[in-house]
Amino acid sequence: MTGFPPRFETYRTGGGTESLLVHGDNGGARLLVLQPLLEEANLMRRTIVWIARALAERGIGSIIPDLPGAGDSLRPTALATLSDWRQAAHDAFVQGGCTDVVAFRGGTLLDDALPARSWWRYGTVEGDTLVRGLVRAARLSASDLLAAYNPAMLSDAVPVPPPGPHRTAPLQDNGIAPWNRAEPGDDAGLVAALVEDIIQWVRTCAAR
Amino acid sequence: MNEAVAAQLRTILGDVLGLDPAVVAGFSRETELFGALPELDSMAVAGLLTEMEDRLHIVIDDDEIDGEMLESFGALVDFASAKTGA
Repeated sequence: MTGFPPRFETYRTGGGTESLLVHGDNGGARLLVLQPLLEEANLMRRTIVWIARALAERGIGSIIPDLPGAGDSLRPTALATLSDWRQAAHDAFVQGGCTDVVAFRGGTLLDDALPARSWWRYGTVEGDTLVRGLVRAARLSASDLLAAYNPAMLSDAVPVPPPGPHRTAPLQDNGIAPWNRAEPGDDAGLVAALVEDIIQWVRTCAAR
Repeated sequence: MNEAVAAQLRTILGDVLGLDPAVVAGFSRETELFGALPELDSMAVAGLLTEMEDRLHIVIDDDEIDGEMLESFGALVDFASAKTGA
């Protein structure tokens, strides 16, 4: 890899500080990357960081924030609310000097009020579907997944069309959705396809 | 065992769990699944059930989900066969 190694920085939200992972420099487009929510964030983390790295190598910077109560956040997961997360997305976008948004899965429930130039979405999902997956996993899990999270807050959440240029990238038609896979991490074909889609979209929007 | 359903489930399990086709081809009625396959944790089960619903065109109630239906490949095939009416 050339140029700018990834680094951790912080942003302030909800009276606390959360970390974010930065790829690339701060010239040109800078993307706010919103990860999936709940357990899907763990499944998709590696794929998303790989995408961010590939984008940085092509000159597009990004930040991937940890939401309060998620990822490496010190706040209790069960106390996080949807409005906390939407506010955190906004705080990270503004403090990170972002231009555009890239949102995966449950991240598309957080992105519609951001002051962005454009929105790119993948795997758009309703909160109810995420809760259902968690309820099912909980039936077979030794740990109390439902108490660990606060899934009820997501039940009524639906993706809202953003107020500006937006694209929902198609799912790959020759396979299985990455969030339904046990180990989606190292799918080079998926990463390459999404990176190309994002680059083309961001460049088109920047040229408008 | 309903072989048509079994074949579909082999494909789904291979896709969801990232298993080698040769491994899933060797699944028999007695092959143990949940608790025996390290790839099949509770989150992977959620993905597996979603894929089964989509590809077999069935609806699985949350109340039907327990360790028994996932105990062995045969149990899963029987469950899916009953659901599809096959």
